[in-house]
Amino acid sequence: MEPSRALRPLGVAAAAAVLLTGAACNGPLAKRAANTHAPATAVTTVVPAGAASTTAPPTAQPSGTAPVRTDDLDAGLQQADTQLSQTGGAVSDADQNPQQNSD
Amino acid sequence: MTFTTRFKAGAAAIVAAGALAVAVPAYAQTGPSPTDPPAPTRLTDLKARADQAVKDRLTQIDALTGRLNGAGADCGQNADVTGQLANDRTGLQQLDATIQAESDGKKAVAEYRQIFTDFRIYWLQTPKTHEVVGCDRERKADTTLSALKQKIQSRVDEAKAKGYDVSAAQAAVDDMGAKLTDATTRADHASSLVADLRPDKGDNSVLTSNLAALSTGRQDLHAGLTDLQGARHDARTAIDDLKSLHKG
Repeated sequence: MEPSRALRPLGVAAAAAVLLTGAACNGPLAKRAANTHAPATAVTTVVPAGAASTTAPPTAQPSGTAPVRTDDLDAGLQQADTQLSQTGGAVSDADQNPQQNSD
Repeated sequence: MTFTTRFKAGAAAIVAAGALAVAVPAYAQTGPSPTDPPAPTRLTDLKARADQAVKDRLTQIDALTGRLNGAGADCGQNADVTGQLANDRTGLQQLDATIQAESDGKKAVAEYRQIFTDFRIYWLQTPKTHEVVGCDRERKADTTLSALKQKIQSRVDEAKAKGYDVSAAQAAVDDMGAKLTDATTRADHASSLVADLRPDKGDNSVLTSNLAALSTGRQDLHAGLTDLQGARHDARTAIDDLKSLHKG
């Protein structure tokens, strides 16, 4: 008997063992691979204060957003409207002729 | 010139004069002069009429004092006018007491007239107080608009620093400032002009000048109010400009 023929059954047995081991390990490996590609959840990113103003150029403002704050200015204008209304009433009072001709 | 031509010219002149008379705003007119009521002939009637006239005026003084106290601002004449009204109150009460104790008919008639000529609660003190309060109100609105102007100016500066073209907004803010300054001048003038007007005590020239001063004061207050409304419009313009800025 030649040595190569004597080793052939051993080679077949080794190949079978390798295949069986691979099949047995496929589940955990696949799970590990799936975990590797899954998106990260609950990631907190800390951005330093002022970073946005230094990185975003003024021309990159989204449409409909003023480049400076204006909501408080609108509120101030409403307050002025109220006072102007009262002022108009007071000036109108000054226009009234005296109620009594006898004084 | 034919009769028809002369007639047409005359009619046109009358129409023009009428239009001018109508064009003068109500607040610029001095209005009719007061007609002091004749004293009742019977002393008892006179005393009753005097007492009621004094009570009416005391009620009016209280209302005017309340207006001053609730003005919410002061152009600088509130204390002066409040003091005048307090003196009027005391003076009217003393005069009423004198009339009620009077036994001389002639003296009673003269004292009765003083209720009107020496105090002028309705013809002088009432419009005067209203004009002083009108100034106070304009001052209050002016203060609010001035604070708003400062805020708008800071945003204009901020936008300018970021590279935006703020020329239109800045022009509106500048005009706003000019109008607020003028409003203050006009209102202060009205208040200071009328605050120290004194009762005419039967002197027609004093009465006429008082009525003219009150009319000028009303015109100043209207001009001041128009300025404030213009300043408010400027503020709206500047804010809208800030909302739609583009980089220059």
